[in-house]
Amino acid sequence: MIKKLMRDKIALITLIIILSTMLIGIFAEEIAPNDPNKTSITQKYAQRSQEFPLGTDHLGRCILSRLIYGIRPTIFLSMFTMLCTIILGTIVGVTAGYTRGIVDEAIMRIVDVMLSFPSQVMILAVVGMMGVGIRNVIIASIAIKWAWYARMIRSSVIKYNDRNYILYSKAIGASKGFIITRHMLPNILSEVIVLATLDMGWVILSISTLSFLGLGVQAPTAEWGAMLSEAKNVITSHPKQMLAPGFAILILVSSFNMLGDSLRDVLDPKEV
Amino acid sequence: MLLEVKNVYKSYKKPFGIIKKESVEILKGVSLSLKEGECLGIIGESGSGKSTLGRLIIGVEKGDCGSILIDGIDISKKNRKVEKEKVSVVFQDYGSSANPRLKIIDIISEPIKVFEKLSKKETINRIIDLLEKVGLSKEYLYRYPHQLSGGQLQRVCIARAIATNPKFIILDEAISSLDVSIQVQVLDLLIQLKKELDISYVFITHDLTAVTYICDRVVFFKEGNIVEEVNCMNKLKNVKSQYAKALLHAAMTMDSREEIYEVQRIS
Amino acid sequence: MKEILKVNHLEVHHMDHKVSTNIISDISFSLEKNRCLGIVGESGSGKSITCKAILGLLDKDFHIKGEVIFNDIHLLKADKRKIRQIRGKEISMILQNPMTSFDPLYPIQEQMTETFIENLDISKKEALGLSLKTLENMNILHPKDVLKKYPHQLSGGMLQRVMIGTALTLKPSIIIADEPTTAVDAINVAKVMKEFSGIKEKHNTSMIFISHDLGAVAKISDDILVMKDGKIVEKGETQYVLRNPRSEHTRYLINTRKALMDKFHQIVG
Repeated sequence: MIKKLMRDKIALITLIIILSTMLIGIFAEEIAPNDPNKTSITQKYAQRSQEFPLGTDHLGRCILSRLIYGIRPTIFLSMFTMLCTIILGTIVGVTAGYTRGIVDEAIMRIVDVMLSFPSQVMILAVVGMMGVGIRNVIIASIAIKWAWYARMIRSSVIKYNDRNYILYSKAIGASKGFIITRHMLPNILSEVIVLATLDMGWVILSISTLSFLGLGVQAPTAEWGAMLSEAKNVITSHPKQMLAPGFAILILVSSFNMLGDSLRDVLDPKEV
Repeated sequence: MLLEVKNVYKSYKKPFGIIKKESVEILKGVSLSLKEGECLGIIGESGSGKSTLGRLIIGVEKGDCGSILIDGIDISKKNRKVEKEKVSVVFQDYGSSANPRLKIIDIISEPIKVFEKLSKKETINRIIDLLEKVGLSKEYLYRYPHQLSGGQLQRVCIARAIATNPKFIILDEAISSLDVSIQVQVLDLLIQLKKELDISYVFITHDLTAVTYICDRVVFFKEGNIVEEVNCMNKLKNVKSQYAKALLHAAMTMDSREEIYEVQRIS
Repeated sequence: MKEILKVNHLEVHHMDHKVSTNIISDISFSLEKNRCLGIVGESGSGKSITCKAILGLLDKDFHIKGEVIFNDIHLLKADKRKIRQIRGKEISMILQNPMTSFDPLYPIQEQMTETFIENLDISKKEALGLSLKTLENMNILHPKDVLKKYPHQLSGGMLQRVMIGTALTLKPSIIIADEPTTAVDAINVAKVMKEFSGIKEKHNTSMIFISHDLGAVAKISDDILVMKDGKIVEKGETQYVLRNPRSEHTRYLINTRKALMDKFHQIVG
């Protein structure tokens, strides 16, 4: 499977981009040339130089260093959000799909209600109620997204429930846990991973958007959305300030999207 | 009696209709029995309810009323693991009978894991033994289902079915989606296994020629009812009901095979 | 005898991630006017792929070499519009699974008339009359009721007969039937087969009949092709081949079929 992924050039490139970004984020202290939060008014809007490879922002902070430190909240918080969403969605989806009947009905009606809210507005509402801060943004994102996953996982559980190999397991009296862990989850997870990779882009954008609006990551922590927001204030006088964080988000999000597409081809087992 | 089905009814609710749920009766009071060492054929068209009956017997679904007894014990009662061990199943669609993500070794080891505690080495030896029984060599152990042909995969499913030493196996259209030439091979294998392992079969099919090849007894199934029962295959030509006659006639007229047969005799 | 379809040195390769697998290797055969050619082989022998290659129904992953000549037209070289015309009018195909050959959203009537209007250039009223006549010709009981029904309300055998009727009414020069009886219940197979035998007697049509069932092919075909692993292992006149099978594979197919029938005859008498 990994071999097959390696053969796909786009998958390989995007995977390299994502993994190296993550590595840079982890070793931010070692790699970043400057302290991301050190201000110096005398050097604001500095051009590219030996000391500041991408120049400085309106407070004279090193943009490259801020980008590198910004990887942490951007990628890792998004991944954390996604992981929680998948776990919650899987538990709910499998429960609904496997038990059917009244439990299923109840869960699915709740899911329907959740899905009927426009997602960004819902996040704004949750953050508005619970207060500004990255923790609340993550909670709000999970609250919005889990219903999607629950619904999808439930329908694939129902789909696989009719497969003969699951009927066989039931016929010989294998336990529910055995059937779910051995047959259901591997099949479902491959579908979920594809969707999750595609959705990673959405979550990154969503967290960045909220930080841009000042609702997520708070200053002075470096985060790409928040950096864009700061750059926005001087868009008329120093438009170049937008470029670095803007491109960073663009590349990362499209990498995740393209990786998701390739994963879909690779993870699909050959059905006979 | 190995298996007794007594007056079983089963209906499904139609998925449409929110207010008034209509239900369709699939089985309308079916009774039959299977003796030890016997092969019982259940023949009927698609939609006649014969596969539903199979599902009830293996316990994947529950009937509305009536009872199913295996070795005299009602399977609707709890703690039926012992009864589960006595029955196994092979499905028609070999494509979805095996999890495409698992290797052959894992597919066959599943029932062994459920019923017996064997060490890894014992399990592998057991699986090799099972594969040999169904005429496959051990090189198939680490292959995936999509690397096997339909006939080979159906053999794997049979190996999995006999892994638990069941008393009888439900063969739900087990050969219908195979090529004719492979069908005969699989039927021969089933006959051989029946002798070796002393198992009984319930052979569900729509093909009368296959029934005559393997079965000792046959029931004709139509619209959820048994319309005729033939207890001795030699009396097959004397069937009385309209439906059984039609089936027999269909099989006879399809007998261009007869032409081959005669052609062979001439030459 | 005039050859209506000629296949010369046909080769098909499948390309998957630059790995090329040979599916059909160098096969040649021809179909004569008013005759039926049977193609037998086990699944995976390449019999369906051959026919799809002839009609240009394979996608880009398949590389096709060789030539296919239908009435002096080179099908593999002809432009797409021409091929589509031929596919509709001159060569009809009957597929394995009748359930998926019909659109479940429309009644039989709509689908039949649509096909007739498209291919025969007639008015809607004429098409309706023609549909009714088609079903009558197929000896289908209550044709008027059948026309109003949706595909799921009819049995597989019935749908297959409707398919055959529709294909015949278009008066094609060739009918290609790809495993037409496999998805049909045994009790209805006889009826479907009868329609196929009828085709030869009543209509001026050549036919290619593909099946894994030697019995079905033997019943209907004049000439026979036995395929294995993308190659033709034997070809010739059906009766002759069945009487004097030269290749091991043909003998094997005959013997397995015979084993099944011998038992049946022994019991039924």
